[in-house]
Amino acid sequence: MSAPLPPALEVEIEDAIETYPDGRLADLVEQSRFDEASLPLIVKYTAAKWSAPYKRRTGRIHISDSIDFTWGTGAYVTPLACPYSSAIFGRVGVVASFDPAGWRVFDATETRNQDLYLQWLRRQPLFRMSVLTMHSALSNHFLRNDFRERFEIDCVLFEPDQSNPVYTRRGDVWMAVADFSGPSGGRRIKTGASARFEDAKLTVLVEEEFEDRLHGVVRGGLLELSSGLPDPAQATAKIAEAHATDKIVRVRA
Amino acid sequence: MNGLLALVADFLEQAGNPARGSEVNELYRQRLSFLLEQDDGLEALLSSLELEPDDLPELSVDAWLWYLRWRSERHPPAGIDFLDALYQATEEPGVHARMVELAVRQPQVVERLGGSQNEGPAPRLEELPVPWLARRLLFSLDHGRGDSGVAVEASEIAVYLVQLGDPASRAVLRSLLSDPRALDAGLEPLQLLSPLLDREVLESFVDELRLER
Repeated sequence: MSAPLPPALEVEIEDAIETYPDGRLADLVEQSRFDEASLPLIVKYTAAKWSAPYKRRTGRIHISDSIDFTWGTGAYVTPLACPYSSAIFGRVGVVASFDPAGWRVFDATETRNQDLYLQWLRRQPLFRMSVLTMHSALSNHFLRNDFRERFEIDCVLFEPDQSNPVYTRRGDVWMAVADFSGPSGGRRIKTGASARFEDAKLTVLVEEEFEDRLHGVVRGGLLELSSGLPDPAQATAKIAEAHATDKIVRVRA
Repeated sequence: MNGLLALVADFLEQAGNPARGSEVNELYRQRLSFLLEQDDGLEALLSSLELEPDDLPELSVDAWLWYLRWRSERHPPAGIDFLDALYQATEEPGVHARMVELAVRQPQVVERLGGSQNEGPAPRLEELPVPWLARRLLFSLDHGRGDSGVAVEASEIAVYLVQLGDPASRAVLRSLLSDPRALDAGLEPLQLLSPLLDREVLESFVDELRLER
């Protein structure tokens, strides 16, 4: 819920939060559908180990709560409009549908919104701890969750902060989606399996293997057998069709 | 010693200790999610482990925090003696802040304190539905004064409660700062809150909690 804020800043942050279909998420949604009648799709890449529930279609998208995730606890997914962007995290691409109707979206790809978050951050009692001590990862995780709970933000859009020159493009967008429990005014971000996504299926298999370089800022390919990937727009359409028809798209290294 | 805990300790450590790497943590957490979906009895079994202080060495502090956070969405908190032992196992403020968060955000605490309107006298700390946190605060007020005479731990916990800022946290903060023992222990509301809050909101916050200036 966070510390009390000057009313003017509170209003500014509230104004910056857009309710879908307003804002950038609407464009991403339009580019991430199989057809006009279908719900939009996301992809989440995960390790092959223990991924069988996605093959059996019994698995749900997992909510990540490791302290080093960019915007705190949430389901970290990529709109299918950016089909390969997060393939750097695992060989198994799980595609699922979602209904963003009414979602409150904070677009952290916008500098102005980043500034608002920083203004909020500076007014938090734990701010000093988050920048002046070695506990910064822990306190930042705490503060990011606090911000999203305080403003009941369903989805944060942000730019990739880990990349690979072939798989991650400038302009790609990633999503951190929250599942909430508790009443309005006392919302808490849940952990476990996300109820925001449906019909999660193993739909993409990536040949390449990746490893951390520069402490994970870069995810380097280990095979690098090809010099490029298929056009992302064509890949989005192909993966969406594969999801609808229970096929698997294989991405060559 | 809890035998079930000993059996699952390695799994919880893989899931909850950042030193194992976030890829490993996420893999084990996802595995747990899948298993919980498939086995109805597993959640109740895992979330109701009876914990005693001598169970503390089974997991790292980070893994304990992760497990307690996971458990807090499903089951009443661990016993007071265990939580005390965990709190005292580290001086790390980030750990202490998360333990305070777990205490005030238990669903049953939110249910009882979430609608607090700050009317009438503040309940005594002993009356709040946060027995572990109340015990730590009372111990600090009675025995935990530093060289300056200030109850250091209670002061630290007050900062976390201001940060959390939800109705339950504010209700606990109000009880703490309204307690005559807190004033004796150097916790004067304006002095404590002024470094933490914008001048613009300080007075209204003090008024909202009906604290004496």
